[in-house]
Amino acid sequence: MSVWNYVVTAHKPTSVSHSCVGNFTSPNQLNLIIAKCTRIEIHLLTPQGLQPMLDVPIYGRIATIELFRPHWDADKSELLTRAMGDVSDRIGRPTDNGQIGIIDPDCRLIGLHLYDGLFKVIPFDNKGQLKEAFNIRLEELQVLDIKFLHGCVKPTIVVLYQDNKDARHVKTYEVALKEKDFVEGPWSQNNLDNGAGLLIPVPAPLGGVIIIGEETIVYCNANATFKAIPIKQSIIRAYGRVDPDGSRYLLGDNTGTLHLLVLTHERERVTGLKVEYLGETSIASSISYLDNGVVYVGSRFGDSQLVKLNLQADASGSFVEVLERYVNLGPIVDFCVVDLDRQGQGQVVTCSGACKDGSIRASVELQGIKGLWSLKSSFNDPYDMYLVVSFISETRFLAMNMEDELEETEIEGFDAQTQTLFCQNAINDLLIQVTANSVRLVSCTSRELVDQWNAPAGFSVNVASANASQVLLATGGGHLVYLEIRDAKLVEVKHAQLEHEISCLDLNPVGDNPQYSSLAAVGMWTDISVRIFSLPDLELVRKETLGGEIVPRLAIAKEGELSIGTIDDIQKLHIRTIPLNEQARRICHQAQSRTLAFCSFKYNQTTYVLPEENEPTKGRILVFAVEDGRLQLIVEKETKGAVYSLNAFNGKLLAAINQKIQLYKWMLREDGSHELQSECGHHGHILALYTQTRGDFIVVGDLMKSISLLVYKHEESAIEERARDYNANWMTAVEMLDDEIYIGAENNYNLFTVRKNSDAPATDDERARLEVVGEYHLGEFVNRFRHGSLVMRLPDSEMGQIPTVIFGTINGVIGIIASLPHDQYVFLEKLQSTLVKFIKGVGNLSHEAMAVIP
Amino acid sequence: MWLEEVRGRERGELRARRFEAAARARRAASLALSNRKEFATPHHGAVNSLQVDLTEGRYLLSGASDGSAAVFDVWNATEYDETGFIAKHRNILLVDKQHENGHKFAVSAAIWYPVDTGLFITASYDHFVKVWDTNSTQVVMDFKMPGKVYAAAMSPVATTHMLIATGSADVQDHMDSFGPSPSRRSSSAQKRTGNARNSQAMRKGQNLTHGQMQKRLHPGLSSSQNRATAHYGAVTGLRTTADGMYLLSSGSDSRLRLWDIDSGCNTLVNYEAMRLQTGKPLQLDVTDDPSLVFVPCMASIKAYNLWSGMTFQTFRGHYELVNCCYYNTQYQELYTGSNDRQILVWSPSTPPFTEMEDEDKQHGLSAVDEDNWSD
Repeated sequence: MSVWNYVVTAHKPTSVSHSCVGNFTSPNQLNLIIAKCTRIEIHLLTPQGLQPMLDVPIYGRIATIELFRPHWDADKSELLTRAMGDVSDRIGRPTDNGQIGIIDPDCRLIGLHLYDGLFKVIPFDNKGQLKEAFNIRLEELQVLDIKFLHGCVKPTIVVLYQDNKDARHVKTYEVALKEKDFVEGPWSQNNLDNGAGLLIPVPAPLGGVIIIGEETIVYCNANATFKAIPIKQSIIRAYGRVDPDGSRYLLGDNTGTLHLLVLTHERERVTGLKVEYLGETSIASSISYLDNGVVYVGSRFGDSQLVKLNLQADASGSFVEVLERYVNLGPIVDFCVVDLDRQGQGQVVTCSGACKDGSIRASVELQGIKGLWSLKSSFNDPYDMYLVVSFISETRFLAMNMEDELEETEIEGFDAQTQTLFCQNAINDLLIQVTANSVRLVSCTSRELVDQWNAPAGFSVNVASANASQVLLATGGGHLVYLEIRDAKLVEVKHAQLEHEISCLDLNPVGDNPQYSSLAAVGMWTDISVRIFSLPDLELVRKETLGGEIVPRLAIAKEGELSIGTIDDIQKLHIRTIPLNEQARRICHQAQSRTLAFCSFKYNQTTYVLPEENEPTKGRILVFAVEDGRLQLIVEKETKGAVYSLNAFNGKLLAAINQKIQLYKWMLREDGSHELQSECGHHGHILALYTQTRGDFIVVGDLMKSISLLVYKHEESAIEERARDYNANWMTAVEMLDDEIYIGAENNYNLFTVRKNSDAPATDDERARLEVVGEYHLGEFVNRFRHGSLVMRLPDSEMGQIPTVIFGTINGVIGIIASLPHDQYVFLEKLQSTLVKFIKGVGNLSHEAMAVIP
Repeated sequence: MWLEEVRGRERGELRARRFEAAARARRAASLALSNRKEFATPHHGAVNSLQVDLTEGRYLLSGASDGSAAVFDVWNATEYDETGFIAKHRNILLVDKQHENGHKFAVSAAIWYPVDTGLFITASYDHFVKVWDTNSTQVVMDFKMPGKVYAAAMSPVATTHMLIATGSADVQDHMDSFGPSPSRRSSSAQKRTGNARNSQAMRKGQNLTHGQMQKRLHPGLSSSQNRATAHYGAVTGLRTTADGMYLLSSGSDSRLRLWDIDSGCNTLVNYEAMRLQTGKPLQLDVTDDPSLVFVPCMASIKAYNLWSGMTFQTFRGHYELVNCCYYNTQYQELYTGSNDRQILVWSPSTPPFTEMEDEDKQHGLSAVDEDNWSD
């Protein structure tokens, strides 16, 4: 079995973690810069809205992003890395609360909080170059936020921290660059709101800082000004400054509510604080005020949005109007792959989003588009109704539905099992479809076949063109066939044979009659000529030799590009969203009944309180039957702990309950009712979180003890451990690639594969060990692996034999792992190393360094 | 309860790092005498030293007063008891007085070669420091010290030297190196009078900001009269935190002190009263966050909150004085060795096995009922 695995991203990250606004690409251009974990997008703000300018990957995970003194190479339209360096230290414990990176408002230094108890300073010299970094000891070990104060003579930071007794305080320090140390700052404030979590520095001349807590908002500054107001309990994570003088800020909390915070002031003195409700948005992770009341709300839990703040509230009291939604698949908590048409092409249905932004999303990959046409539902309709998308061996039809979304549909009269070469609206409310074997006429109204012309045996149509009443076809051997539509019938009018192969055709009426052309243009291979023929007699009127290397191509389809409504140009997936306003947690598909079942729960918006007990001591397993499209509860079984995972296993049910793997038999009682009876179990896990089964084998992903392989012994009715991986990996997902190779994703964003050593000679020890055979730093947190394929598999192609596994991540990435035969792997590896030489990652980060597990 | 955290992590609301830190802290806070795992010690004397190897975290090395050193596999049990629930770990290696090159007197310290488990080092009251080849169980090198050797340590992060630092009953302290050109170097520390010079068993990943221990100035600037005093009495134990920023010391004055390595200052954390044995070196340990310090206090082990000094928990189980403790950060288990010749395992609480056995018992699958006759 192949241990050579190729990892690729099918769908880029969509969760937005940070955003900032400024004149980055030029002094006159206002840009919105969005960070999506491993990608940076730069947009331009125009009167028509946001225009994408650049979208680049980063070989790493973005922890913080701040705008300051940009440098943009306008000629090359590239991101230039001004400076990069490794700021890691050998001592110190990496912070749990994330890395903080801030810049002094006067650009004197960069401050980083990466390790507990240490503050790293990188000073700028007066030419704007970065000097050597140094660490300053920070007494406060549990830091929640650090920001630079504005308008200070010496660079000054304000630190929000928690002490040993869980009380929160704020303290200021001046950074003394020469002494490379802190000097006690101008002020401090003790015993803040227990939930104080965010600092907002206010620009000069007001100065000072706003401290956002869960129940209060406080303003304080060096002049001993102290203002506070109570707020409704909420956890505010994102803010956006509206005015350059800092008089207003937008605040987004964890329920998606947007508020406006106003600092009332007289000249340079703050006199009070006011908070006003604005409306609801997706749960914000970043808020950027653009201009004219237009705000970008970046979200990690739901769709990011461009909203407008209106001066008047609408009927529901909201001042927020959503202008645009940007689809976000993340976090993908679970997904399943459904092959609806049994064509080998999967539709990925995800449980996406979190809390009230939860949704179910279905995506179809549209790679390998060979042709694209729009059709109207009747000849005189001003708007198009259908979109015909042709692939290599099938054609799909999409139609606009009532919600102005494109939805898959069928046009019965058309041949959907093959590639479409041409498609067109015709007179008498007819539709034309040209395929390799036939030309079909279909009625617009009934969508049924009206007439059909078949290519003679041994000839297949290569190129075709049509207008409202005429069809011109070219087959191999230089044959040209001309058909006309008369009384809803296809009539073969003329046939000619040319001396070379035909490369392209066009029948566009150029004369007075818009529905009938008297001329046809034909491009030829070999002599590279364009010929004009008269219609209907196919007499050569004129021939032009193009010469040189030009190959006449009158219509070119671009691969994989599809722009419909809410999808942006770069994505290749067509995504349909079903909003739930709840958290969708798990989803699965039952092929027999063709149902999709998912479970969701309402997220309770009370304060997050930690109960005292260690593990839940009780749980339940519920068994439902699908009858008449409804779910019926058949059996409810109480368990001695939380059920983390369920699998079907040889006709029985395998459950992972706290530390134990438990197998249940599905028993029929005498009275006709069913019950789940426990048969056997296995413990020896810290917490069995993820399980997969294959045959008699079970693979368990543990909280921290990596992957273990269990086997069910029929005779003994017992589950026994066969082998395990002894490394301390904190698992986040597992899957069995095949009988011997298993893949896991762990806490540090790495993927790794292990192999079962069934034929290991020597010791029991070696047989009992799962050998690590591959490691890859993905940089994404994977929640789920599933077997399946996104693209259509052609049964006789090589690609059809390659097994693939799809994965979904917290950032909305959908990726694929393909197990390749060795020689293909070697080829792709060579390709990768060559590409890496040419494609420079932004920030001069090394691709190899990222591909190695830290 | 784990459920909420696992869900939060799945959604991206709880950072992966914070999840891991919270999980480790919660497990460390629930340590109790293990009802699932035990070590069957072959020692006939007090257990003085315990260390798990730094490379895999799999092998526990113990040194005892009967001159023996043993290795146990921490992951795999050698056998299970009748119920099938309690894992017994017997030693997979033992070197003792019977061994032709074994120590003649008590082994005070046994440490792994930091690079791999192919070698380990033992230091003994018989004045010798021996380097053993683990696989062949042979002594490959030994060093004769002028007096009884009380402690030995090797730097886990050194790349340019292979020095073993030893503390012995002698005016001088010694650093011995092994490798192509063994050389001797001495520093002028006096172990008995309380100047802390050697750092015992530093953890992986540290980097002392001041380099070689002998250059470091005296900690304990709290007393301006005697700048050299850390404890009023002997320094009986030393341990640095995993981040390399702090040093813990225990003394025969029954005090525990936390020092800031960078400044050399006493952090003045006031640890609650304790009674520490005075006659022997003590092996302390600290969790990796670092939040708890484990100190052998007479016949029990006390865990203190590192920053507040409050007693967090007292572990009672040994019958006699406890000498050493080792915290296995990988799986949050504490191993302790005592004069009662036992090595006890303290692990995060799990439900009593009877509860889990219940379901299987109902269906007649309990292992207790099965016949154990061999063929």
